[in-house]
Amino acid sequence: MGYTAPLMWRKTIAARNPVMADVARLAGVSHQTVSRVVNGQANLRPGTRERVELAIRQLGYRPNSAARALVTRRSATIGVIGSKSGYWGPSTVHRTIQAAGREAGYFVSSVNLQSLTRGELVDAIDHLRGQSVEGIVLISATDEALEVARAQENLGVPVVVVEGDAAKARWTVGVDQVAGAELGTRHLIGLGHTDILHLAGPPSWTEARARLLGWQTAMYAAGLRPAGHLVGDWSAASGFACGQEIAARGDVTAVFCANDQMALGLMRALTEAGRGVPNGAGGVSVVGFDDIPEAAYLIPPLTTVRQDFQAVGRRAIEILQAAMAGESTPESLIRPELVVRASSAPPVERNP
Amino acid sequence: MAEQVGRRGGPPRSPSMAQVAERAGVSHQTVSRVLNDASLVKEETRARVLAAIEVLGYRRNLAARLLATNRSRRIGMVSAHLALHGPSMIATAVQEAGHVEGYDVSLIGLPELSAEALHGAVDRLCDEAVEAIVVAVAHREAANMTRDLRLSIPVVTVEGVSAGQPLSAGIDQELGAELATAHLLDLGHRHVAHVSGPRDWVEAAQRRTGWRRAHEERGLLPGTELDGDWSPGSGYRAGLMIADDGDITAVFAGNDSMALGLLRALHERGRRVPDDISVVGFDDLPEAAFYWPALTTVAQDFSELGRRALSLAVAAIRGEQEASLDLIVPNLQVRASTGAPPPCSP
Repeated sequence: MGYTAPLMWRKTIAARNPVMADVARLAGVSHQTVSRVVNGQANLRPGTRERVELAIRQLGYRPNSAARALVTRRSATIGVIGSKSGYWGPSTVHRTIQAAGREAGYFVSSVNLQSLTRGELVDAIDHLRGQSVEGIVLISATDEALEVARAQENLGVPVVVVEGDAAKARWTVGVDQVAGAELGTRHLIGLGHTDILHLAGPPSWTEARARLLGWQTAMYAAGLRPAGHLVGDWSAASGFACGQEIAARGDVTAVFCANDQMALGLMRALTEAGRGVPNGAGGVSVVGFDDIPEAAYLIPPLTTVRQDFQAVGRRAIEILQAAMAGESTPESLIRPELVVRASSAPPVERNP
Repeated sequence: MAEQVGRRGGPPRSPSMAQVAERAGVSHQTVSRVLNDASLVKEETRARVLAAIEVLGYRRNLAARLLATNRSRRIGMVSAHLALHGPSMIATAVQEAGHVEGYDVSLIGLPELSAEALHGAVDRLCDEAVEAIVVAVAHREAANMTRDLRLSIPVVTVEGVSAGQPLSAGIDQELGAELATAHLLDLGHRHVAHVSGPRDWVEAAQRRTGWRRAHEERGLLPGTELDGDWSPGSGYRAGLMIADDGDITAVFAGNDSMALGLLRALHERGRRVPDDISVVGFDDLPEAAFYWPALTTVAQDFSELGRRALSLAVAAIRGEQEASLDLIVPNLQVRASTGAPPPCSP
């Protein structure tokens, strides 16, 4: 069984991995004996175990993990469900959770969904349970997803929801979205802005609602009335489209944008329409959310709210482990951080 | 089923082998044989054990599928640098293609590229009885490491592949870079500078080759070369040097993220794009159209790449020989960041 050139295995009808019978044959022992060695049982004649282990190594035999799961009841696998939208926040969290899970010794099985609807989620969870996962992390939940997640707890699979609504999901973890939005909005208020618009994410996402709430809360706390908000879909294109609308509104002096990718499109639309960011005639200040790697290199560099996704990934696994062990779970919210750059400034004097 | 409902906070309750044995009226060893090598068991006995597993709640799961078909319907994928656009798009595309064909794709992201990390990942995947593995690792050493795996299941390579390489699928990086560079040269620029990705990435080297070839085919000498690392920061640093170099009127950045940093640096130094300097990127990120100015770049069809990789894996699993395909041709997206060189340029 040397180097597997394409030619070699094409000669066989279909390639397959060695099975226990192959090991038994090579070691010259019974199937039962191989089984005993594989399952780590004792009472074997000296030399027998070594012979079997040698045969296993020579053949590259791997005990069937599904079978092992039946015997040991532990698969050492956790499932992670994300969406394949490619939005920076959720996909970064997905990666950090995978890394944290592996570091904790689990095999991580990832599923990416087109959308987080009930149907897709039920399929995904079914699929993961078929792999005997011990726990599931669900990223960026919609309301439908949260309902499905809650039902899973009744089936004995702990589900940790990232950026979930703590009222709807038993175990949640994430950066404190409301606090982050308050930070961004308060920064603009502190600069002197009173007409601060919000460009929100899609309302079916819990983070979008939380950031909207944070913006509203900060405005009310400062004695300001939150003017209406616009709704984008997280993409730069939607930020651009909303930006064209905003550019036409002379009263707006600042925008708190629900993520950096939309802020990128927004700033582009404002600049194209002749509204400077943040200065110049009719200048508009812009604050984003996430702190994507590109944020510092935009024109102008973007003030934003940084999310510590490494911390989210680690905490998600810690909470999942605690839930799986029936222990009390650690603190679920990670503090966000404001990063001030050049896209925000005091309001430009308006001509009467 | 009482067994299916877990205790609060406890691990999920899978039926044990003892329960399956009891239900099927066979010995523990028999269940083990059925699970590990069905060929030793009478068909009727095997059916009884299978039925027991199904009744105890193993519908549609891996164990049942393996027993029924001897196939896991699962393909493994190993990928590095999932934080970057290309690798993440490719991983998603392969998973999607797998979903369409009825295969689960188990993805493992490597934290770092090393033979140990690759072997560890492949080990885990083989534990799950994957029928094939897709390797998406862009570094030069990856090809050797993959060969050293010596697996008995097929291995399909994406990323960093060359035309005609067996069991591989890829997008023609050299051609993409050539298109980008030729676009600038045909606009009248006498040479094009290049900010490349890290030297140990095969794709960075391939884009560099295409960039050089576009010059050579027109009897021109290539422009300045600068080292980047795919990040916007590295593009920014290269951009500061380019801004100060009066000779440069056009730049091909190895990816859109570096192009963004480059645009920022040129803006800071008062060099107008495209009036003073033209810029082309690579990838066509969704944001590229909204850069300032909108970025001319090279689009890669990652969905098609994922489909091809999956199709190769499936054919290989079936023992069929699929004709190797040409590399996928990328296409140039012309936007506002490129134009003719300024008058009276060197």
